[in-house]
Amino acid sequence: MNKDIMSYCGDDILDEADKNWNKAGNKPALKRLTVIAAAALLTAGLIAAAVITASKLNEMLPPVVPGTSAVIVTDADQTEATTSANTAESAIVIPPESDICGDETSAPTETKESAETGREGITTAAEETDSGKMTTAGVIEIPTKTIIDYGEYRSFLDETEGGVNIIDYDALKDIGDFKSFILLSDDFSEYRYLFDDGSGFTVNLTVTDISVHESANGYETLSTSENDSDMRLLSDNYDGIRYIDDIEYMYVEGRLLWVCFRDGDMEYLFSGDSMLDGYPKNADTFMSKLLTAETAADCINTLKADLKGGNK
Amino acid sequence: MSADEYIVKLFFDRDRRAIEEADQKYGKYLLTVAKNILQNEQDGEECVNDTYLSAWNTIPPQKPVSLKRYLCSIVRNSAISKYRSQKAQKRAGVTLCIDELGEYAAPDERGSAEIRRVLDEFLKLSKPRDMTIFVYRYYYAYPVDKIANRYGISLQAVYKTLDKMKEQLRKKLNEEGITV
Repeated sequence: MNKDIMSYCGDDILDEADKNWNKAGNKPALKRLTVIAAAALLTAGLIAAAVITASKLNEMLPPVVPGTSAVIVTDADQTEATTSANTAESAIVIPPESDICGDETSAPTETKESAETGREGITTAAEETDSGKMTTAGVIEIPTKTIIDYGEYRSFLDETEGGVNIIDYDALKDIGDFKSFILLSDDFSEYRYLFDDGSGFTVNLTVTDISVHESANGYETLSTSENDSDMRLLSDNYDGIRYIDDIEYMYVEGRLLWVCFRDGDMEYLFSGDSMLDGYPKNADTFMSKLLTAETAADCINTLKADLKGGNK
Repeated sequence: MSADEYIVKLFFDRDRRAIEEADQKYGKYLLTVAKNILQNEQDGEECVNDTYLSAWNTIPPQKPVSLKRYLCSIVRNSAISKYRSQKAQKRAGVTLCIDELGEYAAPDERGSAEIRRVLDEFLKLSKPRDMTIFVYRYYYAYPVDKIANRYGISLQAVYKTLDKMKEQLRKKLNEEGITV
């Protein structure tokens, strides 16, 4: 009897995979630690900023006699200042007059360096998820905000002035009814809409600014050659990516996983909650038009026009 | 003496506690593998029981170096066989992900060793995360969403990794003259 190829897999590989798998399970804890570390560094940064502000304020105010102020402590002895900085009662420490303003060798500089190290620390933690390097496949999706109420969504857009990159839902109404909005990146360079398309199907649209997220969802290399056959009409057990009419279709076992296209730096990826398999192609919906050879191009062109018109 | 060595000794001594001890230590693990493949708890439990019976009948003369791997290999083969039999009777509702990689009939022991070498070499040279995703999908038949959750990445990212790895493995096997 034929054996499946993985049954030839060696024990050492399986052990290694188990080890990696268990290690991956500890990642959230690592992430939490990183967040705590980042918060600590941010606090340190804020304290440093307060020191600088206080220093400048001190310059503008009449000279303070050392030791007479309960809030601002001027310490002539750098060693002593460093020591006292570790104590609760002197949270704000001002170096001697000569060190104030512009002297970057004093505490604020150290804090700045620490903050930079902190950023590096965060990057490292994220990179670890992909064995040292963040890649296309390593896009970490941690929602920074999820909004399921349309009113709240409108308020959010107003508060953030729409975020420079956020496409207003009003430009996407053709896709379906608003279901939720998920912000995946604080700089608004990656977010997702969930639509109810009216046929009982939830369509996800993930928008990514690929100039910010170098590794986006779609393939960067395979989406180059057109295919002879129209893969939208396929129904057999096809695996892989096909590209037609500037649209990328990803199939797994003949089931459609996603539909993706790009316009300039923006990438738009449509997917279902699990797969688009079983999507009602005969329904008069945006996705059904997108998945039909005769109407797909028009569908995309209409959407592109809407995006340009509706982009804030 | 390690716990595994103790259990193997119980098998050798024809002591029925061997099965209890093995079940206590690896029962959940084996059930997960069987369930992943069969998508059914009851069928999975049957496979695990068959595995203990098979272990009882084969140890001795076999003396596994790694009891975990030995039992896992039995339960996996048993679950795949059951799946194929269900499929033949059109009872299996889903396609087994393991089938995506194709099958290979080694003509002899030398052929087996060759394919094992190529596969190990390929997986060792892959990035650890990619290798783990590949093994967990195609050896343990883990659902893609569980893998994605484990690594905190999207479903698309997992599929993309699997797709890329499959292509690379096919290429590697072809280069080595192995057709699957």
